[in-house]
Amino acid sequence: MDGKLSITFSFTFNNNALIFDDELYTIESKNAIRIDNIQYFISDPVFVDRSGSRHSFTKESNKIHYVDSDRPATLHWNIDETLPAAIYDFVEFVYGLAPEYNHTGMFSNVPESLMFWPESMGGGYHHLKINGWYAETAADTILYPFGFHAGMDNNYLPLRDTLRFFLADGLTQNLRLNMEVANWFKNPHVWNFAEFGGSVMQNAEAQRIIKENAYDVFSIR
Amino acid sequence: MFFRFAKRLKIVPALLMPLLSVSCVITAEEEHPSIHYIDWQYPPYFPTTTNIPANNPLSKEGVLLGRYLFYDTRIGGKYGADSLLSCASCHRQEYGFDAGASNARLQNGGMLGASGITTAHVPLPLVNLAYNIRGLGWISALEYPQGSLETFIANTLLDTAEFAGNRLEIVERIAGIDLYPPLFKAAFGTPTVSFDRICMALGQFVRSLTSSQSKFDRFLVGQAQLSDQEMKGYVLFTTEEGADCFHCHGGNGNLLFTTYDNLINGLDSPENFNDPHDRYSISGKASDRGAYRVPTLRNIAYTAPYMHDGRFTTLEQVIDHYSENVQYSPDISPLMHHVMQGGVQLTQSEKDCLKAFLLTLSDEEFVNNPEFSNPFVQDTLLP
Repeated sequence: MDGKLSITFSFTFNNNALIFDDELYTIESKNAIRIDNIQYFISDPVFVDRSGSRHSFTKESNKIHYVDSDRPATLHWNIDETLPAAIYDFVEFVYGLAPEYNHTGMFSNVPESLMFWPESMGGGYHHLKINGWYAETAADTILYPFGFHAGMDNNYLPLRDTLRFFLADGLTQNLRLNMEVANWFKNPHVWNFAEFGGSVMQNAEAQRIIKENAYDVFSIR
Repeated sequence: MFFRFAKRLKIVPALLMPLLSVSCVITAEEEHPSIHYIDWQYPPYFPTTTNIPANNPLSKEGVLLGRYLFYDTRIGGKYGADSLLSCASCHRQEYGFDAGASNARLQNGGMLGASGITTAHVPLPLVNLAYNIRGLGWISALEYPQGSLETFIANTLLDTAEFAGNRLEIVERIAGIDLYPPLFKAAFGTPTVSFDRICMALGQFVRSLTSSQSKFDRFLVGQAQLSDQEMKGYVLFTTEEGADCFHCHGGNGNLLFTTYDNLINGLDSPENFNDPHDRYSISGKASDRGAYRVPTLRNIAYTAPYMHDGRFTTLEQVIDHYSENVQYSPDISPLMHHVMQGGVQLTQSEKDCLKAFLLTLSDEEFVNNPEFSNPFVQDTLLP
């Protein structure tokens, strides 16, 4: 009595589908941003059924998923492992790489290997990359590059979302994990590119804020 | 054991046919017991995926044939002394299989081809191409999985700006040389010379050009120590507030030293840019105007001139560009974080350290490896 899951990954800005490259968005600080691409990891997905039992996948390949807006194949994850047919109430996962996976040499091949976080800055992998261009206000005509990048062992974040779904025997349930991009720059910290500039990998304060802002970025439906 | 196939495909599955270029549709060869297939070796920390197609695995005999063809000035199928050109004319071993700044064929930011036309860009080095699963050429004109190295080679042989060859003439020319039918028989089981087999053998040789013995490679496995200056350069290379090179050019997590992305690196302001052969020319995407594929930095000391048009002849000029001469454009790569300041603003001491690190990417074994050298002058490895 088992069912399967597939997960589609999407991106929104203020609840509308994110338009990459061309659309100018205003974030909470009134900075204007244009987004080129987004890459991130999720790890350790856990599904909690109505009895409170926690179910996770056993294969190593099903404990980590890499999402890349430039690589459509990564935006749909058909998980080749079953879960018990049941009513589920919660979905948990780690935004980024949980520490047991976040060590240099974990990934040999592209695209995951391109997420490496240099040894000189602690090693391991980026949890997240958002690449784009910013201006202090929407009225500015020149936008400068930014890399909203997060990494290092203590900057992942376990998340839990309430999602009631029924996994039927022999069927595949489709879920959608959405990233609300506006929330990276809003809650609880208002992100101002004028303060942090275009590169933040070596800025511990920025890394802390990105982690703390992650709490309401993801939703699963 | 990467290459031990009990049986190889003899036909291209119908579903794959639309994906293959009409210029080089290759069917697999029947396995022959005298062909010695090579067990592919993955150097430490290298990727474990390659673009080696199931229908063209490397064999000792295929690589040898490809090596002869690579260095043969008759490969274009021509007879005139003024049209003699080999792959090695533009991809010379001593220059990391790049052109070399002293190459007489370097003209106006391109290479002089067999018919007197100059190519759109300077060559890229032929190194570690077996691991490239993204795009080939300066603008990723062919991209995996639809494209292949064999197709790229076929296009090169036929391109009017390069070999300006003709399939029939090439096959007749090569088949008419006594040296080759036995080499084809050894590589493919029969002495038949075909255009596809020529491309396959060249593909095998080019894929065999693996560079993994630089000082930096040896440093990573504990066999060499970087000097203080080299180590400072390594830190600069891999930090955003240093030289900020690693996102595009790799490091310990990406030993290919390229992402193969197509990006704008601030060489020219939009008003001064006029190359009609950029990434935009094939993508049609406005944001690709001025974008080129990120080249590898492996063996960078040997591979001058630099950039798609060969505008820089020294590493110092390249470093100066990224330090203080980056030109803004609206679609400049988002990874060029310091364009607002014109570049990463390195001091002279930092520039020296960065150069010292870049020199640790030189692989002397690679540029001196006799197995990659010109067999017509170096030695004779005929079976």
